[in-house]
Amino acid sequence: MATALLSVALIAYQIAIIQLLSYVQWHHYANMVISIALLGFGAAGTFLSLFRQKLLNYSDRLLPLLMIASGLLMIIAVWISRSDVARFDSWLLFVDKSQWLALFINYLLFFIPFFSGALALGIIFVKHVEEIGKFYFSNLIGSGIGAMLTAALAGFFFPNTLPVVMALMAIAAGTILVTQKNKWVIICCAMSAMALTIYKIIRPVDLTLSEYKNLSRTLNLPNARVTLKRPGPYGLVEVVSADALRYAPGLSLVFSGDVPVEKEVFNNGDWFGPLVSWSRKDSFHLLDYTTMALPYLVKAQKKVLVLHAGTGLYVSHALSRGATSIDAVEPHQTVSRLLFHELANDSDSLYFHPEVNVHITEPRTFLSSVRKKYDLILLPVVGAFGGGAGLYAMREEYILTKEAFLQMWDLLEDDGIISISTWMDYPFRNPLKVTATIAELLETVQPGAASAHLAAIRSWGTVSFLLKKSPLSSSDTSAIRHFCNKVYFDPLLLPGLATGERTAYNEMSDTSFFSYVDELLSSNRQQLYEDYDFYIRPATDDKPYFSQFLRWKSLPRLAAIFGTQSVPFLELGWLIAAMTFFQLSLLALLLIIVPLFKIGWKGGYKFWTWLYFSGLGIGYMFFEIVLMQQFILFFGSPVYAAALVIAAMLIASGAGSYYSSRLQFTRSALSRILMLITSLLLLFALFLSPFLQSISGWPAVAKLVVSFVVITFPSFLMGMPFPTGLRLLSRLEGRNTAWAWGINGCISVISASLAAILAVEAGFKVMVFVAALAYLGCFFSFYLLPISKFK
Amino acid sequence: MKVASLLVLALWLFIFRKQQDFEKQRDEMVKSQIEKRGVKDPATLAALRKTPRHLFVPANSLGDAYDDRPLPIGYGQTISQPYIVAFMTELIKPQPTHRVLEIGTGSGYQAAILSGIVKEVYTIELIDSLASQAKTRLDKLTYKNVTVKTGDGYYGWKDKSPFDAIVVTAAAEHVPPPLIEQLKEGGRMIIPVGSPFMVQQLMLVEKKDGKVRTTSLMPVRFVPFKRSQ
Repeated sequence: MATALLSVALIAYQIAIIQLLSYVQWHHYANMVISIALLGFGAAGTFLSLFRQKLLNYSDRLLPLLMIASGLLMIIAVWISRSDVARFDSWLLFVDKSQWLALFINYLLFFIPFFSGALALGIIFVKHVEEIGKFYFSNLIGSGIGAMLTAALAGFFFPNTLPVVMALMAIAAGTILVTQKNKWVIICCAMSAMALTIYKIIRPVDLTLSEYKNLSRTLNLPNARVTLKRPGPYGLVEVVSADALRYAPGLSLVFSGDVPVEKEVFNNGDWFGPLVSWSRKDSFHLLDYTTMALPYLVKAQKKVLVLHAGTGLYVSHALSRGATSIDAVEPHQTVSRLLFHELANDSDSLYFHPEVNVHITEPRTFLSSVRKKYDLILLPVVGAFGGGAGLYAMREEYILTKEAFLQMWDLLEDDGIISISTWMDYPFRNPLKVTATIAELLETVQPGAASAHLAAIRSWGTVSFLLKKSPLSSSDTSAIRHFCNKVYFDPLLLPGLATGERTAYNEMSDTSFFSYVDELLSSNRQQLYEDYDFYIRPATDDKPYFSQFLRWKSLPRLAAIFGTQSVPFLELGWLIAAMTFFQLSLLALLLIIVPLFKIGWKGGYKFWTWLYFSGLGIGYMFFEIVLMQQFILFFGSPVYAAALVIAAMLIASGAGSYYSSRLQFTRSALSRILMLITSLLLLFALFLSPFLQSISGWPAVAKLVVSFVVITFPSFLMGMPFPTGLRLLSRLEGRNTAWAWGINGCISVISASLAAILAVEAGFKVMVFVAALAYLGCFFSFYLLPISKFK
Repeated sequence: MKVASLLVLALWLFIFRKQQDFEKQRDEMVKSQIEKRGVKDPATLAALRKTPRHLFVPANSLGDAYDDRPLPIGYGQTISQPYIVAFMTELIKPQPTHRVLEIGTGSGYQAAILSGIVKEVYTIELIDSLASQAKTRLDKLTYKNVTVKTGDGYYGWKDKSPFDAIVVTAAAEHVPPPLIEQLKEGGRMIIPVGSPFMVQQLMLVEKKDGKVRTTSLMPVRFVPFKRSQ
């Protein structure tokens, strides 16, 4: 019970801390800090190897103390990390060297509670190695419940109280282990820890954001105030009003009216969308003066699908242009629900218009299930004003893949339109990747006639593209030209376009943009993909990372052009992921090597131990991450998909671990399990993605049942090799079990970080192959051991 | 008495030495960061040589005052990279007779640079604390032709319009229509596009023959961003 409770606390705290750091900083820094902290598991293994006997001798006293300490330190870590001593700003990391010290303090603060909790788990595993199946079962079941619990509680607690609540579980775990001998010490410790927890729930830690986050900058405006706060599984939603808040993306310079002041919505401190007040009485919509008006120039759009509808800006535009049926798809359930309730007045009851149907799901899931045809499909605006900092390089964007565009094309009426807009950036990235995606789509659906179906217009800040299923008519092109002249925009792509037309109103000193666009639409596209300094190949469902542009080979050249201090801000997300992996690898190596000074470098089946337990760490983590990515698309909710996959996998593995104690302890029996896992993973690599796609339109309950089977069957098997391996090692060389556990902990953390990088670079399919290879390696590793040891 | 005199002398020598250090750094900054990258306007270069940038940065950034980068000044705002300030100044083609409007005073550094070149500078800052700090600083340094006010730059400064040039240092995702209106026929407006810590692209807006045209400029003029082969 205590093992399970502690495991609940450790995983729930991990997720809660990611939420907290994602709010006050950015999610990639949250991942970096927490990855380093999770090395506490590896470090606990190292510590246990070094002081095994002493720790085991005093285990009865130590276990409850370590668990309570873990809970207590969880609270203290959150507390100190938000104090002036340890508060750091990741935005300044490449500008101000002192921030590195603060970052290091944060690493340490969050590392210690994990170390303490993991040490307790390690002592239990090593002490009861012959019953490891049962204890590992409790550990995995607890972790699975912890994942679900955090997803469920995220909607009720703010990011600064959620980690504190989770710490309670660790304290409770320690209290369970109270015995007559240590009764008073434990009770005193537990009471103090409880008191601190309650105090920090009543008076939570400061939630001041980085001053470089959108929300902080907005709150600096005169009379700015947060009018509504709502926690949710996607993050903390905040609504802000201020005297100077206006939104008109890339507005035409001929517009002479007033841009209205409106409230804006933020999610985890990042800008989410404006609350636009528009009513039927208004004679125009602000977006009529932006490039986003493009699809409405060609024909009246009656049936409109708005993907990632956000706060409804593009829905109100469609309404203003006479749409009679609008499907607004938005996965962010908190914001969507607020628009129906508390924010209904601020958005002029937009979602109550009879023409509007709101669907709270992932756009790709909606595309797979909808049976309707549309006149217009609108995609969200890509990129950010002035270009992004690459913060979203590691985020899956299934709506911007080639497969998504193909799905949209199939949902169009005969003269239907897909429209997508992007902010201009420099160096050119987003508009080029959008062009490449469109070019490859048209090559598939309209080979040889792409130019007749494509139009694009450009303002000083944005580009909007239009893909028409039927060829553009001469009246279409003249309407677009007329509009451009009226509002000082320039056509970028249009049948019969003269070169001079492209820069009539908006010149660019680097005109290579035009030649790149033309090249992407020509047969020379592949050459540009190879030569360009950024990755501009279209995203695919296997590598759905549209915002990942960085190519390592280009880094020196980019640094020479833009300066070494500017480069990190071009592709920050990707660089942080690489930095995380690098730091983890160094630390993990150290943690794996240090115990060898105590337990010796030679003998004791060390090579086998390293190979086997590393292989299990890599294989399990890679497979878990691939499943999470695949089920995001399948279920249409990243948060719940991740919670479901983690929970189902861990619980099934727990059951597998429990069952493993009944296994025959022969080489052939153990090898068979590993071979079965390898074969299953190979099958998954080949068929999982097409299988899930083929049934993505099924009813939710059927999908849930299928998912359960798909996740739990391999996970059940994957729960067996670790406890069995540990038991085997205890017979081979008992004092190495702690080291093996440490190796598995270290490699699992590294694998999670490496998997994120590999997913972007190589795709999901390759990751499952690597997982299969890792298990195959474990299979072969048995042949390094003498057969006599298996009986 | 003797001791006191010696102390004063030592202090004066120390300050003088420091001052000389900053002058040296400023010269170096203009040579290596500004001239080298193609800014040629003598008035702009002279203003940069004259303006003590170290007095416009927070005390904890003093050592970095002449570095080739933006620096935080609080409230999530920055003092722009010296090159960007120089480039923006040169682009508006400032003349001694000009009346210039600046949106986003920040530390007041851009206004100080313009002050040495044009007749009048009007600068608006949205954040009250920044505006009053900049006003005190500019007054102390006797920049007499600069007028600072706190307010929403969106509306420009109608009473003082039209302007020969407008410098928008705090970019927004749209150009406020009143600013276009307050720009003189033949006038130039310069706007940085993008977040202050990222590679900033500049946009030049020109009002000519009743029409408004824009030019997107590269962040580093003489090194065009091209494909690697």
